[in-house]
Amino acid sequence: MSLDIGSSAIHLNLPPASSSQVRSPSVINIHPSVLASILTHHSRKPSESSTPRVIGTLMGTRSESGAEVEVRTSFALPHSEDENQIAFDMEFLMEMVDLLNKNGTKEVIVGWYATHSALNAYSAVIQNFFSGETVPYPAVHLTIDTDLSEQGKGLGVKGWVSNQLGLTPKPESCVFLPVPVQLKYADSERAALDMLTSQPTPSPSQPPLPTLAASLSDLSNLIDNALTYVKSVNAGTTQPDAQVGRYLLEGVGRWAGSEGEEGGVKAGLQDTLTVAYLANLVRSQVELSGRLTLLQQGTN
Amino acid sequence: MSGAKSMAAALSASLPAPVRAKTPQPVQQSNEAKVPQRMEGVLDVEAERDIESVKLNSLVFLKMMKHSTDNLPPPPSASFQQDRNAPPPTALSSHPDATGILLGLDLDGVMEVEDCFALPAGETSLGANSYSSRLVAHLRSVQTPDSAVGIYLSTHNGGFATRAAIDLLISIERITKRGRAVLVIHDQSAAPAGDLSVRAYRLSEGAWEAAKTAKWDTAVLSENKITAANMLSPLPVTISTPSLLNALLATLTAPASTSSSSSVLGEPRSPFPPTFSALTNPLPASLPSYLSDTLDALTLHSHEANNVAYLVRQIGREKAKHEQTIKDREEENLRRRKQGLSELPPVGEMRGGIKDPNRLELLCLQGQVDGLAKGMSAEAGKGLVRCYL
Repeated sequence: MSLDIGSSAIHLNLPPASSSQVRSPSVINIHPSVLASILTHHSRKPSESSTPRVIGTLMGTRSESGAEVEVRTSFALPHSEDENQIAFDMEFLMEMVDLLNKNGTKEVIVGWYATHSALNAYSAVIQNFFSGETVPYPAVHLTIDTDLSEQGKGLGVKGWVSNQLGLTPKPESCVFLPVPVQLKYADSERAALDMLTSQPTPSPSQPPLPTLAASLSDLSNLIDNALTYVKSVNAGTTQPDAQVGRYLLEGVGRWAGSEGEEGGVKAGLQDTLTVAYLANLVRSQVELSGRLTLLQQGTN
Repeated sequence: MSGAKSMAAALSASLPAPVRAKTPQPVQQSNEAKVPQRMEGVLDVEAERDIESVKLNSLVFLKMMKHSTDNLPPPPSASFQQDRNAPPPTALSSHPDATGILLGLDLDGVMEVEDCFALPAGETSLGANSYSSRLVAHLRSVQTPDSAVGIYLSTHNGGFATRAAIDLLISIERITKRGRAVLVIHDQSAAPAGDLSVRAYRLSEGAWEAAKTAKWDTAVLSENKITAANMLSPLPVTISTPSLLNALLATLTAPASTSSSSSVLGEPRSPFPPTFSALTNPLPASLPSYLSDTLDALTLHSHEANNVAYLVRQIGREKAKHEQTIKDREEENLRRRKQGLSELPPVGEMRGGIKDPNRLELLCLQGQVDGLAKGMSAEAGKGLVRCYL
């Protein structure tokens, strides 16, 4: 589930070599709301500002050894940059982190983002600053390329960590190493994402049955496809593929083994009916009591 | 960093003037708040037009989802009515409800929600120094729309607005002085079944009347004919996605163009492979949770009803005592008249302690029981459909 065009780099996930347990992250998991928030921030940039990009802070959680970083929230930082200097509002950063820490979610600063695909000396300076914030873990930098280029490579989301480079430890001299970025969401959010990505977006307050019907029709289509494939292989028109055959065998085997389900459905039927009856009873009771309150006052 | 701070101030000053500055007397303040030319026909200055539908930005949508999956600390136990004992700790009341504020603008009868943020549990007003006003001040400096238009609530198994949510709604409507606030309820438990349940409501007419007087006693309730069912009136919801995000989502779901054709079962390229989770039968797991939630809600409701009944009896006792005092005074005066002494002054007005109890909590709990029961019957219905497919 990588968010970028595939690269030929291999990312090694080595066990910690030293006892200090601090490693640079090997994968970054992003929640989709962070992406939406970054893009919205970019589109809200006032047109008369001189900066070609917007920057902001990323907050999230880390795994034990620092190998996995999960980005859950982001907020924007006002900043200004020109040829000579770059500046942003540090007090703003502190206050926002303070406020966000109060709303119950335990998140810490994990890095920063910029909506520009280039990494220049300013990036290094800011990266240095953020590394100071996320001590002892390295800060993560995320770039989103918002120029929609024709080759379809636009909106690549790339993650970076920095390493010091050079003979003298200056803040501007560091090298950015790429880190793979993945999209991570909880199961309960899956339905929301499905809905957002289907065009045109339907209204979100649909009754529950259409999804069931859609899943059923999808499943039946897939079964039809598999069936035509198998028939054509048997008739000799298609080259058999050993891998596909193995998958099909596994799938059918798993399905045939679970025949004890029939009893479960029928046994639950009585319970379900009882629950439906009780629910109706409770609802009419509540409605009645509400009306009776009004009536009582009317006669008082 | 003073340079940066003044730069931030310059950034915020370059915004179009915030719409909140509009009051029903535009004449005196016309030089201060200027509506951009293109918005004049659409912007509803005196908030005459009622909101008819809600348009959620997909950013708001995703943020709501994310907040509902966060690990939140359990909510602080707050007792609204003067409880004799604390309400019994139930699983329902210790389940944290994700609450947050919606920011946006209403244009032409459609409430467009652009952004949102989460609120810490326990905030019930948007006063001057509250969490939300400080956060909004920060957001304003990065060009986020800063007018609160409503709240969102993420509940479980078909719940309803809690008392805290209604308080927040009312305080938003008071502060912004324009239009009505919107309540968006997201039901988190429908999601594993593959459905999505996001509904929008606003306070109905009668409820708004009651809220204006801040008294929810029985007289006001019967005058406005408020029951738990018609306290909130539903609004249709649509979702809008800005174009950048649309492009990103499209790239995520498009199948990879260069699929290696050697094996049909290449690795799934798109991050959203199709799921069939709607087909599994969740009833053995979900029905008991519905049942226990409904029972908990009934427990809380009966506790609150006991409280209200106690207060009503208290009031009755006070009234009876007062009448008794009046009668005694009368007799005393009669006696004195006969003896020719000066009369005692009549008993003054009854002192405090006779206010009719606030029934808002009761209403909310009733709505909760109703919502939970409705969810339960919907779930049972779905189970039946699955059985007979």
